[in-house]
Order: sequence, then structure tokens, then C-alpha cells
Amino acid sequence: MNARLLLGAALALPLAGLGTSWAVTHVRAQQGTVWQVPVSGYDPRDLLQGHYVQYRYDWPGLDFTSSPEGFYGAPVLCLEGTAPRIAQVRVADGRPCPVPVRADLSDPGMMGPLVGGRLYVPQTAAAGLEQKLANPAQKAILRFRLREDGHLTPLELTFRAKSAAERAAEERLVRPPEPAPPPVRAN
Amino acid sequence: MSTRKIARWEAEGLIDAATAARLTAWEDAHSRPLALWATIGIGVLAIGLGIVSVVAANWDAIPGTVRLAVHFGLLLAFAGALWWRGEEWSARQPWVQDGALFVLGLLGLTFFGHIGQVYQTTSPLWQPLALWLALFAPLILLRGQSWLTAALIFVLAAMACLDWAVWSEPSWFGAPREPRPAFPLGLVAALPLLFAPLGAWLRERSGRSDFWRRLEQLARAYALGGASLIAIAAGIDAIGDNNDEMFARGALVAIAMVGLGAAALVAALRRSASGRAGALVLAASALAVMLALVVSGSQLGGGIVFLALWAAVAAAALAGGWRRVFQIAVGVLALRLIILSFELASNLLTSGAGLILAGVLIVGVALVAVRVSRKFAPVAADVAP
Repeated sequence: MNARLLLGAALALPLAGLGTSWAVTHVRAQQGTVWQVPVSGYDPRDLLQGHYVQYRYDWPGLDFTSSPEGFYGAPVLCLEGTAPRIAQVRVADGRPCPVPVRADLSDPGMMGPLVGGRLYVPQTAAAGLEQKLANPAQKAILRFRLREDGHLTPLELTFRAKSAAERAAEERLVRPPEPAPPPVRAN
Repeated sequence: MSTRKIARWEAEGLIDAATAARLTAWEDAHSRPLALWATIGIGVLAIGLGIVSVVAANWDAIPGTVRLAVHFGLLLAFAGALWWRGEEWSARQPWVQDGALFVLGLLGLTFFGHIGQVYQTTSPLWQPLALWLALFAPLILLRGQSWLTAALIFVLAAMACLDWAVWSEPSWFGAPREPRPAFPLGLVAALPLLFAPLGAWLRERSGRSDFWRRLEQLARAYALGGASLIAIAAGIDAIGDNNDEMFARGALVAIAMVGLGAAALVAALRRSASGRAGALVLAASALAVMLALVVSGSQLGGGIVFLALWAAVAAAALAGGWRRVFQIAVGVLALRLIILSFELASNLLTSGAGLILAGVLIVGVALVAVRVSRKFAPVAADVAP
């Protein structure tokens, strides 16, 4: 009888552990608020990496390319705004930060923390998503769930058409307006 | 079995007519409809493949919670089968029980991955592996009976340790990472070696001696493989104090210490020739790691340490009466000698005379190895390594 009890306990342990793991993950997945952030494709030649779509966050109000951290990103960012719209994002620098976003250091991926991310996509939807991400007339928005402790979980990618103002702004970045020719002085 | 053979035996005079009649009658009564079984088997296989295919194609259409529930249901089913029929299987059909244990373990492992897929979570590899070990090790150590479950638990334990110590170092281009101290890395990487004294201790005290013997063998193979790799790496690159790398001084010292400790325990627990031989292999691996530290950076030094290690393995095989291990050790020694000679005199290959010399060397070493192997190998004894 003793051996049977021992076997029962040894069988119950993994079942209990796996069940608990599932329950805990499920509860934690329901916590937090949903926000939206615009994203753009990371590498137009290869937006898919295996089952993941890679993208780069376009945090409003934050420009990584001009900051000293540059490519490496930052470990903590501060969101300002009311969910789901982000008004402004800044790098956490000691000031009180009610809505932090923390980088997931255990999954660094190809880019620095919080510079880019990736979303698991099913095979059937992958081709369509890749096409839409590469389409310059469409803007990709990522809905993500942000927990209290700053952990970010991507939920889904949605698309909407870019407005004329947005397209004009992008044109200016790509092709800066030519400087006016120097005035011809009549001599 | 066709009755043609019976007719032939009767024709050859091996059996008489009465026996032939009795054999034919018995065969007719016990004939198995193999063709029917084969056809049914093909049908069942098709159904199985079809189910897998339908599930795979509609994987994403099935809600995540439903998928996880079905997965968990399968786990419950296998656990239940082990609970009700476990005793009966272990007495009469131990393979069935081991197979069920193996499938249960794999289902548990994939459950972690499945959760990650449904809830979009990620984690470094060693975390789910360590959790799996904590949950499933008691069951497998309690009930495992063959190499299948022994290999499952050892490989996953080794992967968890190596992943934490070596593979998962968070890094991204250029950003500074804090270096981890080397000594704990070495300790964790050497943890699977402790299966050797565990196996040595329980092998005679438990009814499932095959399982514990396999665990001890796997731990020895891990020690030998790791020490050989370190000896090779020492020949290529100097081992420094750079604490970012696996092959840092502190890590190797830790590995050697654990190895020597395991060897001492094995020698104390199994006081037979075979036990002492096993301890010798572990001790030789640990010493090879220490020597690799000393000679690191020197190609000749690395080669000599490797050759000394495998010579010790051959000696241990002689002492323990392990025929196959002895032959493998001689083969490895011959191969390394040949490679070493090419490393040291690499310009041998650039001239015709040099090529002839190299060929003669290879043939000579191979012939000597075969003769030594045949002449000195211990007789295939009934001592299990």
C-alpha cells in the first residue's frame, strides 16, 4: 500500500505543478491594461522570422535614433496618456513613473530592449500580415497588454490607412526639402 | 507459416506422415490472418495521420484554452493509466510502463511550450526544463526501468544545467552585460555528474538496476565528453580569466572539483573492479580538465592531455573488463594521434613525399591499434560497465 501511495504522490506532483503553472499564467494574462502603439516593419526584406513577425515600436514622442542609447534601447520607459492611447513616451530617469514599461531581458531578440519586438503569428495569417506591413499606405498598430509591473505582452496587429498628414511627415523624413537656391545677386 | 515447409520435411524424411498431419492441423487452427491485420493496420495509420493533419491545419482555429485542456486531458489519461496498471506492467511488461512514462514526460515538457504559445510568454530554456525536472524527477526516478527514461531525465537535466551555465547569456549588440562569476557556472555545468554516484549507490539496492546503471553510464559519458571537448579547446585557445566565457579558470576548477568528488563517491560505493574502473574514468576526466588549464594555448599540450585522458580510459576498461569501451578508447587514441601529427607538421600535406609519409603513418597507426585492440581487449565478460 505504501508503494502505491508513493506512486500516487509521484503522479500527482507533475499534474498539480502543470495545472498550477497554467492557472497562474492565465490569471497573469488577464491582468493589466490594453494600450496601442504604432509599429513599423523592422526589415522590409524579411519581416518574418520563423513563426514571428518582427516590428519596431514607434513610441510617440521618443526617438531612439537621436538619443545616446541609440540602438540599444532602454530598460524602462514611461508611458503617459489614457489607455489605450499613448500621448507621450519618455525614458525613465528617476522621476516618478506611474505607468512603466520594462524590457524583457530574458528574451532579447534582434533589437535592443523596447526598440522592437515580435509577435507569434499562425502560418495562414503570416503572408497577409507581411504584405500589409510592407504596404507604405497602411499603418500598423500593435495592441498590447501592460501589467502593473511593466511586463508587456503583444496581443495583435491591426492596420489602418495612413492619413495624408502622416504620409507627408514620412516623406519629409525620407526626402528632406531641398534648400532654396542662393539668391542671385544682380551685380 | 506455410504448410509447404511441412510437406518438404516430410518429403525429406525428417518427419513422418502422422507428425506432418498433426503439424498441418495445428497450423491451420492457429493461423493468424496477417494480410487482414496488415490491411487494418494501414487503415488505422491513415486515420491517425488524418487526425493529426486535421488538428494541425486547424490549430489556430481551435481556441487556446480548448487546446490546453485537451493536452492536459491527455496528461491525466496517461497518469491514470500508470496509476491503475503500473504494478501490473512493471511486473509483466516493463517496456509498456517505460513507454508510458516517456510519453507522459514528453507531454509534460510540451505543455510548457504550449502555454507559452497560447499566452505569448517567453522564458529562457532552462526555466521550463528546471521546473520539469522538479515535477517529473520523483516519478521517473521512482519508476523508470530502462535506458529510455534514464536518457530522458539525464538529457533534460544536462540541457537545463548547460543552458543556465553556458547558453543563455542575455546580450545584445554592444550593450554592456554584467559578467557572471565563473565558479558557480562551472558548478552548475558539472551537476549532471552527480548522477554517477547516485546510480552507483542505487544500482545494487534497487530492483531496477538497469535504470541506475544507465544513469551512471550517461554521467560518465558526459564527464568524458566534456573533458575531451575542454582538452581540445585548450589546444586551440588560451583559457583566461575572462569570466564571461564558460572556459574561464574558475569554472574549470569547479568542474574538476565536482568530478573528483563524484569519482571518490563512486569508488566508495561500488567496491568492485568495475566500480573502481568507473571511478577512474571520472577522476581522469577531472584531472584532464585541471591539466587543460595548465597547458592551455599550446597545441601540443592540448593533444597530450587528450591522449593521456583516453589512455586512462583504456586502462580503466582493462581493469574493469569492458571490452567495447577498450576498443573504442584505442580507436579514439589512434585517431587523435593521426590528427595531432597533422596539426604539428601541417606542411606534410603540401608535398608529395609528405603525403606518402602521412599515408604510411595513418596505416601504421591503424594497424597497431587493431592489433592492440584484439590482443589486449578483455574477454567479453558478464560484468556490466
